[in-house]
Amino acid sequence: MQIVVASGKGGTGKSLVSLNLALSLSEQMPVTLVDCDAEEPNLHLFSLNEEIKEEQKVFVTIPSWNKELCTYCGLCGEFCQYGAIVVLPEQILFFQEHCHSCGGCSLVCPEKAITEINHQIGSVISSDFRPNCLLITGKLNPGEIRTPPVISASLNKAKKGLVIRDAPPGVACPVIESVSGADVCVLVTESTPFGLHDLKAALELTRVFGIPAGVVINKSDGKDSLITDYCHSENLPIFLTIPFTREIALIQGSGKIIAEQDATWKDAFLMLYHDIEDLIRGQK
Amino acid sequence: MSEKKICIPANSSDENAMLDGRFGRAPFFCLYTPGDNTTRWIPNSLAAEASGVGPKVVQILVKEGITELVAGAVGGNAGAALQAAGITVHIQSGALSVQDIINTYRTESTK
Amino acid sequence: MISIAVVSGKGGTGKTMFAGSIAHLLQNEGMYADCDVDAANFGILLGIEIQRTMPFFGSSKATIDPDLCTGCGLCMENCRFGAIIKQDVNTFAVDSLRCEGCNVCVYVCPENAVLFKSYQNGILLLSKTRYGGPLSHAELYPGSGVSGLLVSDVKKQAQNEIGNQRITMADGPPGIGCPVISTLIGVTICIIVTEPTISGLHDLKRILEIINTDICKPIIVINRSDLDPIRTEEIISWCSERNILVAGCIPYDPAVIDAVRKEIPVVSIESSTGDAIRTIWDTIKHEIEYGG
Repeated sequence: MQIVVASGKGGTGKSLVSLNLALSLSEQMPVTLVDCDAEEPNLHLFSLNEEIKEEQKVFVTIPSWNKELCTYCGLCGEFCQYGAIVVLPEQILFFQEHCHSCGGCSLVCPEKAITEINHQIGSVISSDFRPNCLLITGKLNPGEIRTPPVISASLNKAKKGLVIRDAPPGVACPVIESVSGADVCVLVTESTPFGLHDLKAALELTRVFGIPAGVVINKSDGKDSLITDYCHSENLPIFLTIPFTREIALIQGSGKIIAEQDATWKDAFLMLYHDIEDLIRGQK
Repeated sequence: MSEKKICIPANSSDENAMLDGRFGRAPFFCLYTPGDNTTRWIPNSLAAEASGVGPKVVQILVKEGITELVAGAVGGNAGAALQAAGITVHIQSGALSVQDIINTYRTESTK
Repeated sequence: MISIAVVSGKGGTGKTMFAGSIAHLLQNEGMYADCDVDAANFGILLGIEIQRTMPFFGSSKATIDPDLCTGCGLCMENCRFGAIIKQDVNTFAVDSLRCEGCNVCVYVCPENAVLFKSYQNGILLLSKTRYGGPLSHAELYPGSGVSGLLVSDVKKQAQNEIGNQRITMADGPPGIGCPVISTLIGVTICIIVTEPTISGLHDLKRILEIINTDICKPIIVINRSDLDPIRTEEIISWCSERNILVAGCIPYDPAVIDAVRKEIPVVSIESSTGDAIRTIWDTIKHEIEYGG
C-alpha cells in the first residue's frame, strides 16, 4: 500500500504525521518511509544515528556534442524548448540546469553529432531509521534544480509493502511526482483560513489523480469548524485531530517523535491506519 | 571586422518606445545598424516563454548578427552566452528612449 | 524604493502572519506581492478587493488530434516523461499533468497529429488592499511546473502598479528553489522567519546559502521563540557568530490564530505577538535607514 501525506500549505505537520504513522506501524509490519522533499529533506533529522545503509546516485542524461561531426547548424538550439542550448558560429553553449533530458536535440541533429551521457543530479540514500522502518531520502546536488527525477528514483526503491511518502509542500511538479501512483492521500491541515485555502488546492490534486483522501487536522485549538464544515460538505473523512500543545511542539521541534514518547499517540496513529484501510476498502 | 549592429530591447515599437529593462522578456527588439543608419523592429516571440529565455534570445541575436546589446540587466546564463558570442553588453539604468540610444550611436559614427 | 521579501526556508514558520502585520504597520506606504503562488494566502490578511484577473499561460503542452492519429505509438516510444498513454486501439493521448512540453512527440509523429499549444497554468490577479496599496498575486493550478515564471509575472505586475508607495514587500514561498530565487531578484532586505526547531535551523542555513549578501541583507526573526528557549539561543549565537542580524523574537500566542481566523493581521489586536512585531519592525526600519 502506498500512502502519501500531503498538504498544499507548508508547515502544517506532514512530517509529524508521516513519522508517527511509520513508527507506530513498524512494530507490526515492515514500513518504508520516503522523504519526497528532495529540495529540503528533513526526515533524516529524526534519525537515531547517522548511518547510511546505501547511497544510490541519480542520473539524468544530458547531450554531448562530437565537435568533429558538428556543423553548428543550430537545429539543436532551435529545438530546445528550455533554452539549454545556444549555438554560436563556432561554439555550443550548454546550460545544464535547464536541460529536461528529453532527448530532442540528439533526435533532430542531422549529423548525428549528439550523444547522451549520464550526469549525476543527486542521490537516494537508504538508512535504517528504526527497527523495521527503512528511510529513503532523495537529495538534489547543490546547483541542481529539478527534483522530479530524484523523487522518482526514491519511489522506485519503495515499491513493495507499506510505503509512506512524505510529499513536499505545494501543488506543483514535485508534488505530482510524489502523489502519482499512491493508493490514498492523507491531507494535513490547520484550522485557519490559510489551512482551508491550501487544503482545497491539495484536494483538487487528489481528485485529478482519482485518489481517495482523508484529513488530519494538526495544531488544533478545538475551534475547527472552518475545516470540519468543509470536510462534511466534501464528504472527506477526518482521520485524526492533533491538538496544539507546547509539549508536542517541543518534542517534534527537537527531532523526536511523539509516538515514541507517549503510547497513546501510537494508538491514535494505528487508528488512523485502520481508517485509511476502511477508506480504501470503501472505494472498491 | 564585422559590421556594427546594435540590439535595443524595447517596450513598444512606436516613436515613443523606451528601453525595456527586461532584455529577454521585452516585447520588441530594435536592431540598429549605424553603418547605413537603418532600423529594423522584430517582435520578441519568446517574451512569454516559461524558462531559459535569456539563452534563447541570445541565439536570435547571434542569428541577426548583433555585435552590441544595450540592456537594463542581464541574467546569469544569458550573460555567459553573450560573452561567448562576443556580443558587447552596455548596461543602462534609468529611463531612456530607443531614439536617444540610436542618437548616441549616430553622433559617434559622425565623429 | 525599498524592496523587502519575507522568506523562511522551512514552510509554516509564520512568514505570512509576519508580512501581514508589517503591511498593517506600513498602512498606505506599502505595496505588496504574494510570491507563494502554490499556496497564495497573503491576500486573506489584507482585506483585498480583486480588481482584475488575467489568465496565465506559462508553458505549452502537446495534444494529439485523434482524427489524424494512426496509433503507430512512436510518440509514446520517444516520450521520456511517461506523458503519452494509449487511449484505445488506434489512438494515443497526452497526459497534460506529465507533459513537460519538450516537443519530441511533435517532431517524431509521422502524421503531424501532435499539436503544441499554450496551456493555461493559472491566473494572475491584481487587488486593492484595505490599506490603499495594491496586492499583486496569482494562483497556480495544481500540477504546473512553472512557479518560477508566475512569480516573476507577479513581481512584474507589482512593478507596473507602483503608485506613491515607498516600500514594496513580497510574501515569499517556502523552500530554496526557483520560486524563492525569483522572489529575491531585486530585493535588498530579506527577512527570514524561522522557528526554534531542528528543521527550522537546518532550513535557515540552507536559505542563507542562496542569498547574495552583497546586494541583499538577511535579517532574522525567530517566531514561537518560547517553545524552545535553548534552541532559540542557539540560533541567536549562530547568527551572531556570522554577523547576521537577528531583529527579534516573537513568543507563541494563541491570539495569532484568532487574528488569522478574523482575517486580520495580529498586530492590529492586543497581543504579545503584536507587541513583539512592533519592536522588531522598529529595529528593521532602523536597519533600513541607517544600516551599513
